[in-house]
Amino acid sequence: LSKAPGARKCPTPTVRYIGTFFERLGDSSQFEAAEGRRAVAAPSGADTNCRDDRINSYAVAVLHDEALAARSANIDTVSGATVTSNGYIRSLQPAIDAAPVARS
Amino acid sequence: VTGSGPGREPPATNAPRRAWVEQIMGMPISVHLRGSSVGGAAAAAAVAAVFADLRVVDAVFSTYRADSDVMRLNRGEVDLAGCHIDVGEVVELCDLARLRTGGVFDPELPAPDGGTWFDPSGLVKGWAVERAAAHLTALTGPEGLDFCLNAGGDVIAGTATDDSPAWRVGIEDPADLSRILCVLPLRTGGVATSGSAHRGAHIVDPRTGAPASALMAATVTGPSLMWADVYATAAVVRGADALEWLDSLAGYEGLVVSPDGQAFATPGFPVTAS
Repeated sequence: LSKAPGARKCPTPTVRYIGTFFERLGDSSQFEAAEGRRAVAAPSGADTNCRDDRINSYAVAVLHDEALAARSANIDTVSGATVTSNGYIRSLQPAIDAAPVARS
Repeated sequence: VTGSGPGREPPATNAPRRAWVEQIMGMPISVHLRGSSVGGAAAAAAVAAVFADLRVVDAVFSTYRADSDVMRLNRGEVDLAGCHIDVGEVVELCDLARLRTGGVFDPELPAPDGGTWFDPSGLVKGWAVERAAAHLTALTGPEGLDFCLNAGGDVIAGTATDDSPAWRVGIEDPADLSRILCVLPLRTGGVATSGSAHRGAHIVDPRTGAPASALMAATVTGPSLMWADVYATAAVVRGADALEWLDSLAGYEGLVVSPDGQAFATPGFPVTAS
């Protein structure tokens, strides 16, 4: 969990540029450039610094390299996109559901 | 929404725990209870009542059962008045959900044989699980039990006291299902995730009829699991401006995962460091 270091205060904290950011994902070269995660390449035009700061201070990036191996995270349950009965066996949840029975 | 702020570790607990799992509505439903009376009759009865409630909901609302009220409604064999009384309630909630999501949530979906049909599944799951969880909420006071109910990846929790440790909800990494993105501490309320990780692109943009693909997943947490679920699905459909929209919803926080697997959250989204 990280905030933009030294993010400038911008006039109105509109969050419009989040939209711009995701729209730009279609252009992979732009996105590669953005993958320094703090410095999202802003569309050409004025207000560039503020644009970046708005993105940074608004969207708290949960960085992929901070992703946790579930086994070490000591979690009680997992929230994920709809798990079907068939998908359950491949998810992390069965081990979690089994563990408390053994402990009690 | 949830007890702990970012970075605050919930205290460890050695309280006895027990878990129950059943497959209902085509998905795994697991109930976890924590507290000294997990082995008691009240706990067992409440858990059985949760599963029984959800089986009834499946019989009434399933689009996979030809004899469900919703499918009979879709075939014109009954009108709303002839359906289980819950169907009318869900229809009204769907109208409200359509309104609150600016039309992004819509139960009028493409039917398998072409045309459209009434498919409230995107709302029914959260609604049903939240209602069934009332049996478990009733255990928190008198029995002093904490509960955590997970229905196919949507979670609702409650704790006996404010001092009870938060449940640690791992948010699944949609790019690698063996990993989690972060841990969300949850004492009371819901967490719902929508996306394409397990079932492919099953979320349809009702405005275009095309599968929604601008986000890999969206997770929403807030006081109501039903609304968290509706908002998470709507966020996936909205795509580009999902975070901005989620941040405008009072009481709810969200996290979205872009197609390349990067995750972004609203400022108030509660996560612990690990």
